[in-house]
Amino acid sequence: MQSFLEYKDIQFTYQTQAGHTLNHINFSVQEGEMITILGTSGSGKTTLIKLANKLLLPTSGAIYLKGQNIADIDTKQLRRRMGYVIQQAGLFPHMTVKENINVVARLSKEDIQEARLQELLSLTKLPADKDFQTRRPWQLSGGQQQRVGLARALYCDPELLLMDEPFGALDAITRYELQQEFLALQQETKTTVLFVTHDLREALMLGDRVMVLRDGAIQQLATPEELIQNPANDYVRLLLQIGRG
Amino acid sequence: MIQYISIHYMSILQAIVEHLRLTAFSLLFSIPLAALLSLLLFHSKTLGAILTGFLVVIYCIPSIALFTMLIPWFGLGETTAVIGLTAYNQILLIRNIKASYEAIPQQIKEAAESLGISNRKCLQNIYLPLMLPYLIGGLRIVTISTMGIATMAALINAGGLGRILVEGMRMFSMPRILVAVILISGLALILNFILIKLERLARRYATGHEVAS
Ligand SMILES: Nc1ncnc2c1ncn2[C@@H]1O[C@H](COP(=O)(O)OP(=O)(O)OP(=O)(O)O)[C@@H](O)[C@H]1O
Ligand SMILES: [Mg+2]
Repeated sequence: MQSFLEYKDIQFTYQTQAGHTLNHINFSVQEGEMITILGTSGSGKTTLIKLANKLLLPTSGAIYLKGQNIADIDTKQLRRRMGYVIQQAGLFPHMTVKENINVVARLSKEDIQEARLQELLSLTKLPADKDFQTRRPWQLSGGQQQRVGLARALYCDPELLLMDEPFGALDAITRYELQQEFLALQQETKTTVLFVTHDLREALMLGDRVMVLRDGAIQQLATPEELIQNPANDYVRLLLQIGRG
Repeated sequence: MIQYISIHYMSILQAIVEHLRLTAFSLLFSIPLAALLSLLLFHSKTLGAILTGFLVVIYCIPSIALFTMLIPWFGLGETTAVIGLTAYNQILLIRNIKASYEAIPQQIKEAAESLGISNRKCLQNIYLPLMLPYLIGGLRIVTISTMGIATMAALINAGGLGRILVEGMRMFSMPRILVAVILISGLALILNFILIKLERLARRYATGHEVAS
């Protein structure tokens, strides 16, 4: 069976850096699967997902989306098929909440669907009233900004969602609620997701499979059960021990 | 001085108009040219380095010399002055445009790029609004510098307040010199003030602060 997304022997080096930031990355993702990417700060998680929408180009190797090398896909079209939730929310400061969420539709003069907006606001547990919709990013809390970022990425029903610690700035309860909501949504829509986190519990709860990344190399990519039962090496074992207290 | 003003007020007014016109025309040509060059430079680093070097050299030529060098092609008068002033402005404006672009936070650029909208729409709707306060800040510097250098344009018959200054120097007439100096700095101050206000408005818009508070 052809995989939905495949990284084939990817190496990546930042111009300003000596060694490889990513080393021999090989993995494939099935359609509808949610992969959580777990690793310490600086392990290369953000770098790995930025390769998928060509924000970064691999130094060597190739990435295939439904069998097609993404190098051969028009960058704009490729990005339209993907939603990207960036680590620091990255909202546009001069736009309101509403304008941020429907930015793609608005700028490409497509129909703006009020119902879709309401749906996303409720899904992300954000207030749906006019006042909230017309606020600017500086008037939101860090967690609210992240959720608006999530709603923006979801707006166009992406085939592939790239999420970089989307729930990082949330309190435990909101975070838990959103994880549950998101899981339900993902199972319903069958969206394929690459979900970056440094929280073990989040990785285990959300991922169909969990990828453990260390210094730019995959340590293990396995289902949560398998990861717990058969850690591939001492590093993964340590990670599990620490993470579960 | 009062006496000089009361007799020559028409000629003074005319000089003010000429001076503003020189400044306005120079900016009118400078801005689109700098925008165009910036777009080119954005696409080619080597071309950028060469052009920047060239523009720095131009910037270092004293204004009288530059104006004089242009006379064989464009003759005496306003055209030459405007071309010279436009050439001076390029390096300042291009640097400013570059700095304005670099002032956009990296995460905003990544968010904008990952939307998959056209470059033009991205520039127009996301980058330009965020760059605007910095661009106006640069425009303010360029406007003031143009007003200053435009004074020299009188030496090639392009008129402006420099004309009164040159007259004053030739005739040892203190009133003329004073009037010219006061008017030049006064105009610069007024434009400075207006552009500061505009810059503040643009900043409020760019940061989303024009609502509430
Ligand atoms: N633009 C850049 N230029 C040079 N080096 C970079 C750049 N961005 C990241 N790096 C380096 O690449 C490595 C991986 O960075 P990356 O951002 O992918 O880590 P991460 O796993 O997302 O970390 P975090 O959990 O802190 O977000 C780090 O060593 C980092 O310093
Ligand atoms: Mg990161």
